[in-house]
Amino acid sequence: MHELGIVFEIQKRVSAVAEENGLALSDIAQVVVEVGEASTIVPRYLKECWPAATDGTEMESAELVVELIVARVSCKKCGTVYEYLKNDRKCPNCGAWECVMVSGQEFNIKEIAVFEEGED
Amino acid sequence: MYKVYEIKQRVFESNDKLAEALRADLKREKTFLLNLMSSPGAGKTTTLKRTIAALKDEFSIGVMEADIDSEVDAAAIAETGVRAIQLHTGGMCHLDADMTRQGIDEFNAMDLDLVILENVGNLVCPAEFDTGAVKNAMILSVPEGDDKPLKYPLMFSICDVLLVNKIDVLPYFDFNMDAVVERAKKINPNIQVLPICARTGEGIGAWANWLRSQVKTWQQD
Repeated sequence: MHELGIVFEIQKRVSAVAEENGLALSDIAQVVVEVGEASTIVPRYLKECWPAATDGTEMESAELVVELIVARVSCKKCGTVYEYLKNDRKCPNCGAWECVMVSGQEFNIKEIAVFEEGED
Repeated sequence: MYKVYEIKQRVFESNDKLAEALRADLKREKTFLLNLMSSPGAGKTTTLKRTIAALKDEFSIGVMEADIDSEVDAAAIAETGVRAIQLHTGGMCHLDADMTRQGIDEFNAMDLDLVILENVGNLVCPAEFDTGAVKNAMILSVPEGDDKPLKYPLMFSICDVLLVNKIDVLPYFDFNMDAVVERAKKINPNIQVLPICARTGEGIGAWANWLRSQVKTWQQD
């Protein structure tokens, strides 16, 4: 259960960020994370583990939102930038396999949404 | 109403910072930390015992055994005469930099040249968390199969050295050593691949040489 450990790591990071910004954990409505397609993290499992990790904590009411970042690579032979998984890893232009990852390995906390009363 | 705070920070940032700080402390103390990883049953503990036997006259060695919940490995290592401590991850599948720091602190006086961290047997999660180790090593044993670099690319990408263990049983398995080297190097061109047999001691000399030179390089300014 690789995602459970990762969910605890998200929680730790969110707690640190909340403290830096003077936010109460119980006010957090949403945590938005960005997960690269090639990051070895499975969004579905991440979402399933989230309640297990936050249950009974101050962050209990926070929802986890996962945004997927498409894996893009640049072909080492011809320089074409293409979607890695959609093209079955192979360069659609020249057919080469060798490539450099451009995006898709991210694992970031993008933003935190906090409940606010009254004013907008 | 919601107020949105833009954060844009890597989730592993806290752990990575702790790991960097630990490495800096280890550098100051001239202690080399090796993170040893593999799947369960690949031969970490047996390899460790061989490694200790090969190097204990030159270096003062400490071993940290990470386990979900047992003392079996620490007891086995203690028999070799080096300092061994058991870290319990409390059900977690990996060690992070904070747990590693606690282990290092437990050794107290940091007069050790070499600390080996035997990570939890797992090829997935330990690859994700920087422990603060100077170098990462993994063991792949012949019975596990030569397809593992294809299945666990992240692990192979973060390791400096790959020990292929149990080479004494090569005749009984469809295990292609050349394929493993090629697959591992494709993911990580700098990875060193060393075939060993922890049971018989074959190849342990070359592995001990690698480790010795790494420790000495780390201890120089």
